[in-house]
Amino acid sequence: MSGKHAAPEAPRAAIGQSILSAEGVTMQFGGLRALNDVSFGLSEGEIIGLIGPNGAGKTTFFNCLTGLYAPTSGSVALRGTPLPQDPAKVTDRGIARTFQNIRLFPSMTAEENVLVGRHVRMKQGPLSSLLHGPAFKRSEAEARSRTAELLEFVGLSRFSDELARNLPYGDQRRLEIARALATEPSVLLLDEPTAGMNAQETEATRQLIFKIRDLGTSVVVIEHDTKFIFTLCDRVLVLVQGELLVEGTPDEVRGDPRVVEAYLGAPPDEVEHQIHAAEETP
Amino acid sequence: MLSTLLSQIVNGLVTGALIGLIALGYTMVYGIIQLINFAHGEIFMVGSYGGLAMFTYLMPTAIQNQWYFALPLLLIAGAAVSVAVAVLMERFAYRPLRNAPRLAPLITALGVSVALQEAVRVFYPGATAALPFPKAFVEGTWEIPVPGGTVPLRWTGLLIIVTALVLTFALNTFVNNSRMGRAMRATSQDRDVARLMGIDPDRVIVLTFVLGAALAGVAGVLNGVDLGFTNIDLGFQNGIFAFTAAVLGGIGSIKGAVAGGFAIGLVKALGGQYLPGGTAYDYVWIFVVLIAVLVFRPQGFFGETERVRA
Repeated sequence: MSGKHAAPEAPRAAIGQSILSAEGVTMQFGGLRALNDVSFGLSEGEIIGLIGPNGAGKTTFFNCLTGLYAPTSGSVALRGTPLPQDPAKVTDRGIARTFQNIRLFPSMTAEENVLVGRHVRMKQGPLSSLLHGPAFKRSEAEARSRTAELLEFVGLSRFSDELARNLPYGDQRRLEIARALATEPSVLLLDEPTAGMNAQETEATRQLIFKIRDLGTSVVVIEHDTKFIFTLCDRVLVLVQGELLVEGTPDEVRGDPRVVEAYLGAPPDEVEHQIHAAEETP
Repeated sequence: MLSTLLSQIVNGLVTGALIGLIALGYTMVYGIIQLINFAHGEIFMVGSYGGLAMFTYLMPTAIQNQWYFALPLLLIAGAAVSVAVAVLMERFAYRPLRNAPRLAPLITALGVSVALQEAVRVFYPGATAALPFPKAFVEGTWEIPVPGGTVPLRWTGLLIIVTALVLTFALNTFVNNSRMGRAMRATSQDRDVARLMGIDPDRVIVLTFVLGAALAGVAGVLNGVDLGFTNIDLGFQNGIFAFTAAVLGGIGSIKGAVAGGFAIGLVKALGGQYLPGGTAYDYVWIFVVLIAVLVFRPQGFFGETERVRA
């Protein structure tokens, strides 16, 4: 088991009261049941990992949490209040996300992408924007300084004026995180934040997620890289064929034979071997 | 003759500025919902009738002959009528078809265009023929001296050029440096993600129609003031030119719409003067240029080569 704890552990923040909860979420597409009776709870200051084979329903679950899909049955609540079925209002309430296949606004600069993230937190009527009054100027200046802070936070200050589509791949993922943070979320949903990244970038992303958590945002992460998930998360949920198979601490989940069988499809020593192999390849 | 050449360039710039103002509406609506709003020419036309109605029925006779009072009121009335018609059109003709195949709203736009023309013809008193439009600006021309003669520039023509440039600058600033302007661009690039950023696409789409219609309404009044008359078929003619200008400049691009407008104005004026056939053939030259641009640079002057979509 030696390799698993090689990466430095960041101190866990104190875990507070429940913030986001899903009760019996079921999502049916025609004859396909993508999610079946999934329940979970996220607490303040917590990082939860969501793993499972391709097609297990992880991204569908994110879509249900952000109002993109209306669950066939079940409910999602933020701080005890049911979420509206409108992505724009969900964002306003404090849930933000990134995408598995990066979805930045390609023809806008990095700064502008983050400024769009400020949309819900800005107050500017169309008329005041046309007349450029003092209130308008103040709101623009505030938004731009907040944007500069966020680009600095994710390490992209130098790309501020670069079009999003011209950024290197890993930086596009970081820019998506900055844009999501600009909405001032209390819950951040990250869909495969390290896909396509090398070992250093993955580690930088892990540290970035710890920093985000320390600033008071709870995080749910979908990732295929199990080593990344086990060293990052307080709790791990395993989704298989739309059902929640196992839930527990990384140690509990890692040792669970059902997970090994259903998710990894190989006996434990095989898995151990795979994990080592994954660590060695950049 | 230098003065002839320069005179035609001046004519071209005036026509081009007017076409550019209308083209902005085509290009913005296309950028947001990928709809060629063929009824936009009619929005320009109803704007001129809005201004005319204000002058004929609402304006105290005391200020009718004082252009510095009359003109702003005409412009406001024209823009208001255009905006009102555009908002109703968006709400009742296009929004119900938001998720329909693209051909449906396109055909609807043609229908709205015919309906608006006929509505004005039937309901506006005297609109069955061209109506005189108040010359609510300084009349006459500025004779610009050049070697070998002078170049005439109507004061109303100068007004059109200056207004078009100021409004385009304002629009460009709004779209690039304000919360709703960024929301417009974000919505045009990825509507679903824009929603996830807290942007309400319906509000953004209405705003787009409002901005385009306000510019068209102003253009409608200015055109009436410049020509001294208005007519219900002016919307179709200028609409076709403006649509061509938007495509020429690169549809979706604000700079492109204005550049395309000036290009068309210049081709029309210079082609009418120097090419065989004279002004009878100016439509031909405009579309020859359009076809040439579409063959060699299909995205237009400022269009993007490809839209990157996830």
